[in-house]
Amino acid sequence: MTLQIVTAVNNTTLIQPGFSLLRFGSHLFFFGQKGWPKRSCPTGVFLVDLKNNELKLRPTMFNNDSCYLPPLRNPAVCSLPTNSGNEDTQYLIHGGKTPNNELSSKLYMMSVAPLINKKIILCCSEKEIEGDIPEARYGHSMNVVHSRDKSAVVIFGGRSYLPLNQRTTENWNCVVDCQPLLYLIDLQFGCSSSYLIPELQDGISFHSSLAKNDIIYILGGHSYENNLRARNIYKIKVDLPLGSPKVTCEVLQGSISFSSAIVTKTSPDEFLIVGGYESDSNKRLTCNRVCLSDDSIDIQEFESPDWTAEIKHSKTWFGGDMGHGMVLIGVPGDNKHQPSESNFYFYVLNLGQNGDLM
Amino acid sequence: EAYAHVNKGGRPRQHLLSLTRRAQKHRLRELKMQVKAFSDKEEGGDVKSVCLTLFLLALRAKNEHRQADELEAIMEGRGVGLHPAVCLAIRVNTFLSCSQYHKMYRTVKATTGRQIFQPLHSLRTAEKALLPGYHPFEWKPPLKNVSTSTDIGIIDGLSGLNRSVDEYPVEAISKRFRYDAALVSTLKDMEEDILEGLKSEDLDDYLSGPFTVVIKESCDGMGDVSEKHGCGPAVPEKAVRFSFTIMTISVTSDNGPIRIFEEAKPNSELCCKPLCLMLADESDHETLTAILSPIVAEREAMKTSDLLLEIGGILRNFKFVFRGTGYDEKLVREVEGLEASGSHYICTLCDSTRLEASQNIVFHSITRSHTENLQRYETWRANPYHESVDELRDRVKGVSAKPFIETLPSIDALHCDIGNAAEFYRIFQLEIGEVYKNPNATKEEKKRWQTTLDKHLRKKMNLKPIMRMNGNFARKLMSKETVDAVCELVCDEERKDALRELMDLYLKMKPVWRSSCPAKECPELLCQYSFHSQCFAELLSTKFKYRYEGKITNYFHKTLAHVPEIIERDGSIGAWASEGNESGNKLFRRFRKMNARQSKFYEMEDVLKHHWLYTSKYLQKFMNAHQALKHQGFTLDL
Ligand SMILES: [Zn+2]
Repeated sequence: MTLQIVTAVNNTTLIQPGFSLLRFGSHLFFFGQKGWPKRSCPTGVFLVDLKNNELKLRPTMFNNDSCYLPPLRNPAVCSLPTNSGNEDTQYLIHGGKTPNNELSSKLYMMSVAPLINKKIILCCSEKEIEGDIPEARYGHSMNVVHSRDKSAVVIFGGRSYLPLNQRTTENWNCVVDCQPLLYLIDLQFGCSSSYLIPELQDGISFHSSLAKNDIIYILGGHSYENNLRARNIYKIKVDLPLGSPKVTCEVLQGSISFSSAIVTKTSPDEFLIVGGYESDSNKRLTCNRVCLSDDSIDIQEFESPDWTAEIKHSKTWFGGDMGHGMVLIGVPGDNKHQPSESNFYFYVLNLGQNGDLM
Repeated sequence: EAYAHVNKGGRPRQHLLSLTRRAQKHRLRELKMQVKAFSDKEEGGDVKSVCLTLFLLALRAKNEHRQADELEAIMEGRGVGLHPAVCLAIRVNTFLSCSQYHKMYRTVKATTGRQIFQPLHSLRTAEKALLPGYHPFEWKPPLKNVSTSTDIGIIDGLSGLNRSVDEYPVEAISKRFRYDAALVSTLKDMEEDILEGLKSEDLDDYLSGPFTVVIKESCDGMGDVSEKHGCGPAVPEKAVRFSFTIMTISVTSDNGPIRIFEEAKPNSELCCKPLCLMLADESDHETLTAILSPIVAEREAMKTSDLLLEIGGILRNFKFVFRGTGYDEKLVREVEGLEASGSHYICTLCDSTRLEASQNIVFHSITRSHTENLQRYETWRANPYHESVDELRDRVKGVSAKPFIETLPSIDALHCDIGNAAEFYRIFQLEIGEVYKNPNATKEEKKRWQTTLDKHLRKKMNLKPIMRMNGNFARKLMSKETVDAVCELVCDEERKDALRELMDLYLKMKPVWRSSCPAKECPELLCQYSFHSQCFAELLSTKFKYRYEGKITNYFHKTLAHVPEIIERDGSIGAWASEGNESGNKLFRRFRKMNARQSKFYEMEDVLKHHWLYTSKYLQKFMNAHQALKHQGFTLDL
């Protein structure tokens, strides 16, 4: 395990809390910049170049079939394998906050376009969804489940602005938990339906969600209404028979409570949970390893890195999963005197076995 | 028999003092006629003296001698106490803090033995009535997404923005008024002007409307407003202010709309009313939109609703028209989703590219609008024709962000002057260096030309070198005297003539966009504007080809291509400029220093309140009257 400070050397003011990282093969991309994209990078998506402990963001282009999605803070992001069955992945991006503080309800799909002149180009398209669609939100989760050779996208949790009949200009920016409904989206037909799960009483956001086959585990998260970070784990099973899907939920007693943690996958069945908050005033400095077997979940404490003083003392932190057991972490700096420079210190935490990926 | 009508219908009789002036007049009509008859007969028609004497006798009969003494003093022309509104006006206008005022009040009272200034509490009562939230009002239909409460004063500009640890961190502080409550307060503050306007246009003073109120909106970042608060170093801070000015009020009549109020000084800081203050960086888009979005929502709701408000004792109907012209180009681009100023798409009014604008300097019309910007953003986002980024960009003419405030495409006269002066300053240097014949100059040479120009301007024009062009420097630079001085540094006669002609044409065009009503103030220059702009364009593309081949500055383009169309549309460019807001920046700093509590949390509230009172026409009238009296020696000279 290593914790390495990295220096952001270009486009540093674009990195902000709520960003997402997308990994396509050996390439890592940054999405969710601060402000609207500028001329220098109209897509708002950057290739992350991490060499010699220097973090560089390189503008990335979209192909002609793409749409230009707005930068989104705290969207729900998940990867899914392409139909071709090889290593290629694509990402789904749902919801999030735009730079104008509007909430998106759209679903985008991001994938790698065929190479042109050896340059890596992305393709972004909007997925139309119909039916009982999840309202615009952020801080929620999205996963893919597989059952009986079928698959579905599961969207859960998050926050939204007050409903229109309660929203006034004086509480314009107030948020509420989204209803604890589970949304299943059939990607092939683009239809969405919602499921009421009696076991889920409160809305949850900034939680973690882990999927294996037809099961999703919802861990941690913050319930806004009662300001609670519950220890419960919700084990949700999605059955996709020929007819209508069946969703069942089991509540397990968990041992940890957290929100806004970063989850990185170290092997098909093993995840590491890093960062986040134990409470409004405490960061969560311990790490956990989660192992999923066919029907059970096992959470163990994991050796914590030797956090630096800056990390220990900052009130907030944020970051994203870089894949391969690596995590990018940002903590607020104090260089407000130079607005041209980043307000954050960045670290790469490597929890995986292969320390030479940088 | 004369009192027979008094208890009509058996309704309980209202107290005389609680009636409107009109009803009071009605009730006392008989008495007034009798007093008048008496005065005519016995006191040479001096109704006033008779009434005052009666009032004095009544007071003394009830042993209210203090009030009687004061009244007598007023009658004798030696006013004793100042009206609380006068005291408030003095306090706000001279930037006195509450404690400073209180000290003055105590000292004057102790030394003269009389209460000339009113105590603080009576000032507070006076200021309450002048701040938004005091007067009741109603919207028909009720405003969408705006609460129906009307007693709403200063509110938190963050509008419930979450500060929990999982949420996006926002460090801004903001205080504001609710837009509709602020407009009501402004109209009530102008009550007398509205009634006078009706009278002077020979309109019935009971007219209920609809009145149409046209509002200029301005928004501007104030740059660094760091202030040393207590101990510790000064931290750089940025502030942004959103303000509005009531420009005109008109009422529909059988003969079309009649203007009953027109702001005489639309660029004065005295009528530019602050709506929202924030300690935030204007280029922090996430924070700016979080704070301004509710204001935009209030404004959008007001566009389709009518205000019912009592003015002069009568419920009247008001409609509002909002025109966002008081933005500099940078902010217009930021809030309308356009690329930054250096963009290939050089204009916020038309779709012209820099190249097109340089090839066709004069003939362009206004084509951009907020609605279209919104549509273009959606086209950009969806890329429906599967185009490459450059094709798509050309289709949407550089709109690549979602607009969030509607501005009115216009020219900001102040920044136009500054932008053009910066360009003339550069031309002067290039002419000193004779770039028209040797274009390949080194950096050192260019630096030398600037030094030569700076030295010369300092000697001849008393213009000190500046870091960034500003309004004052621009005004002095753009003159015949300056160009004559610069010509002393130019050898070639032909070049001198070209420079002089360029300035001469510019000075003939400038009044047209600067004046508040060019049709009245400079009708001839207005007629000749197109001719002058064509001559100017001709000169740029011939004599100054070395600089303007294939390119042109944003402000030259706007000045040469769009002025006549805007004046035809709005009647003026200068009146719609952002200067009131700019000069408000000085006030912000003063109020913050002199009148605000030394706490980040409360200071914005105090600044907003004081700035609001400073823009009260009601207080300004009292202040003016007080000044006039002072000059006549009626009050104590302080
Ligand atoms: Zn134009």
